Amino acid sequence: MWQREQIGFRLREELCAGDIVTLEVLTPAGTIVMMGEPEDVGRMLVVCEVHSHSEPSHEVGTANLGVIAQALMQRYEYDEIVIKGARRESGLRAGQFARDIRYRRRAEPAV
Amino acid sequence: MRGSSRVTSGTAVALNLRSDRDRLGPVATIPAIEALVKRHVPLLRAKRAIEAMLDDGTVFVEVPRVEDMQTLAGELRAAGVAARPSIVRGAAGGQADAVDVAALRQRLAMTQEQFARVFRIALPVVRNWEQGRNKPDGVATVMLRMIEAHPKEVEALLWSG
Repeated sequence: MWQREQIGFRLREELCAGDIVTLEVLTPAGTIVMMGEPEDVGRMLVVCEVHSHSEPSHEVGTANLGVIAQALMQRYEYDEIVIKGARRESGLRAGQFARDIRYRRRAEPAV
Repeated sequence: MRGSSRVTSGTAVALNLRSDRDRLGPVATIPAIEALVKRHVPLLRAKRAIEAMLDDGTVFVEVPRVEDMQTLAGELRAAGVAARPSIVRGAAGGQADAVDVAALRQRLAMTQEQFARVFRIALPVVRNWEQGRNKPDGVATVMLRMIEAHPKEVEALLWSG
């Protein structure tokens, strides 16, 4: 599993406009591009209509997704992230909507 | 994928986009959206078009600036999207040419009244287009191109439900 400090973020400005934000997530396995329509609700970030893409395609896994979420909350100072209605783009249920995914910020593990 | 710049010249093209998992694999939505944005489709419209295509299997989108159809089709194919131009016209860097509404209507063997009724367009609007007093706007042009390519399907769609 990845570590929080291994994750970086870079804004794709040419793919940001209006309510749409696109971020490159830099991970040990490569770059993942994530596009969504985020909204701040206090210290909670709600992101709708999310798409993601990695090149070359690689499996992230739920544990590493959690690490990305923790790194994002730490970097941008949120306590919670809710990803609403993300569409599965691969796997057996490609094209179907996943249920909402919720991450809560955890304290950084003691070194 | 990073650092793609926008094309600087080209022709407006109305495109039919189709997902085809069997032949092209799953749709890579972000590269598909980026291919449209590079050609001056506003980001939100590009995103919604690709999302509509995922929902419905197909979508029409007007792309303002296509430098080379083969290049665009190749980029979209690599993203799992089949692209077919509805009609390619217009001068480089300009808007798509207006559809010849009178010729289209005559090809369908309809009177102005029939054309207006079947395609749910106000009769004075059709008359103004044909007599050159008004030109169809972007959305109307796309619809006329759809009528041109698939008149029966558009009629069925407009009168369903």
